[in-house]
Amino acid sequence: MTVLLIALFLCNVFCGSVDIPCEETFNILCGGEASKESWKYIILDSRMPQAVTALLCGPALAVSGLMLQTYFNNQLADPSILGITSGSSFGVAVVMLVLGGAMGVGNLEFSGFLAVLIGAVVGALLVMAILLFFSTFVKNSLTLLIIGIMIGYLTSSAISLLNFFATAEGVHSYVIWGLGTFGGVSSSQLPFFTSTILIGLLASILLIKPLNALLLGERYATNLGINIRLVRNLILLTVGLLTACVTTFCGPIAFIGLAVPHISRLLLGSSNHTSLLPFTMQTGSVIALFCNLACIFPNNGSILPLNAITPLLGAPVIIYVLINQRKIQYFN
Amino acid sequence: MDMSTLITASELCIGYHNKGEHLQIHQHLNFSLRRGELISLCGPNGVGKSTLLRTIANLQSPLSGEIEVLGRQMVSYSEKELSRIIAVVLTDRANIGGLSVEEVVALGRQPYTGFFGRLSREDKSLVKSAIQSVGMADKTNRYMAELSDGERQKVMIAKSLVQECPLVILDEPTAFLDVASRIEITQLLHDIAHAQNKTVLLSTHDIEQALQLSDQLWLLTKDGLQTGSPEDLVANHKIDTLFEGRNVVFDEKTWTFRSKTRIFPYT
Repeated sequence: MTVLLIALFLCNVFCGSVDIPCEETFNILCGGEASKESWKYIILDSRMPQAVTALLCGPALAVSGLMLQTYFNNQLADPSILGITSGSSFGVAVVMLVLGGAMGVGNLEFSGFLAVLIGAVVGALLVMAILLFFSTFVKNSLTLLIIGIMIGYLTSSAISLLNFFATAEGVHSYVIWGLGTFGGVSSSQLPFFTSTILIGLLASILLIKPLNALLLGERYATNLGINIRLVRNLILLTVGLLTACVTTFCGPIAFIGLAVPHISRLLLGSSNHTSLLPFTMQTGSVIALFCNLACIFPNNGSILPLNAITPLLGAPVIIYVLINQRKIQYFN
Repeated sequence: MDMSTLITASELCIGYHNKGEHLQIHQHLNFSLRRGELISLCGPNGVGKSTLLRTIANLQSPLSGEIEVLGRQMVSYSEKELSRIIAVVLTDRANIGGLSVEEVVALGRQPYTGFFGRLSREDKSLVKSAIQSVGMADKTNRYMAELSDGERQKVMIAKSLVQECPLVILDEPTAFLDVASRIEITQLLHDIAHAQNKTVLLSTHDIEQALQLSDQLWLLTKDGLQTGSPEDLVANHKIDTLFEGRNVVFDEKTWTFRSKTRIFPYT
């Protein structure tokens, strides 16, 4: 998996909608001069940030999905299905509207950027608070899932209403943002983005032990000395941070959070988080890098939207998993 | 106080909070649990056996009254501290088909392991011997999904054993099991109580077997809790109170239940 990850990362740097010879790319990466100035710009300020973004977004979404699936004891839980993604979209939209009509994040100053991210985190946490409220008396996890989907619809319609008040240009950039891309992080924003995601991923690693206990259910976990309330808040906060950060920069990306944990469990043959969580991170990176590569596949200078690719990969996996439920060990 | 007493409850009121209202199931419960005994909790369906067990295990809080654990109020303990005193085996459906037997039993070491749950050599040998003691050694590396209900129950018991708690609480450990597994598991729990000086508190519908193997019997009816040794309870005609108003009678000679009326009289 690690080899595959490195190979795909290199592919992401070496291939793009503009043809740049391999030895030139290599030169640029080593700090040398390129025969065209624009090539250097493309490699260092477009492809590298984009590859790094994909490298981090994949694990962020996948780990969020995994934690939600374990916490809600539901194999269909994921940030986008439970409406957390649209919650953070809503946060982004509100902040954008307050800051001015444009709904793109590409050309914002750092402070504005922070405001947008905070908006996204608040939006995500708000949705999760609502979900948590329902989960106290809705015991059926399928019902809870449907409530999550409904909350997603509600926030989407709230966003549409907000769009109504936005400028035409704002709506346009919002629609573009909604298509999803790993190219939304500029090299100046990259350090901030990277550190936020890394904090979230680190937090998830620290949650491995309680996540394993939660596989037995909340009562067993309590009996094993887990402070359920604390752990639940930490899980939700981590998921909120990761989802919000990805959503702010890259748009609402679907299916990676849902499908990657399943792919990882099937490949690894275990739901023990000690090995599953790190493995899910790697698989997340691989899938995200692969999707990013698939976006430039047409090779005629144009780029496909990310959200056109992820369902092509994710939906079949989920359908396969659901159809074979009885045969797949982790369902029993 | 008496060092052989693990838990004392006084004037305990159990039940649920529901929209600000207290839904009382039982009140004025008084009992104590001593070390090294197997206690069977019997009672008809829906009388509140699970609620009582969960309250003793601190998985739900009592509506009023006090529980003392080793001479200290239960509320003053942290989850972490209690996890080394009380281990549970519940009826909850766990999501562990994708874990191996060994991994599930190892979860029982969580109260003792560090931040990442890494197992020491000592932990590993404890896990191994617990799996052996429940007779699952040949299935150590199998997925939980591949096991039968009885085998899963044994794994969960092994999990509770590695928790190294003086008190093990089991909610209907023998439900849905065939006769052979039922006897095996009850005998196993009986041996654990006596050999390791643990207190084992379990709920069961199998009163006839509970009479044979328990040191103490708890009879829970809607009128309250009666405790005593099986012999005393039989001698005082208490067993019949379990199914008052139902068409069964307890035969004190054979220690078995039978129907009060014969539908087809013998010829």
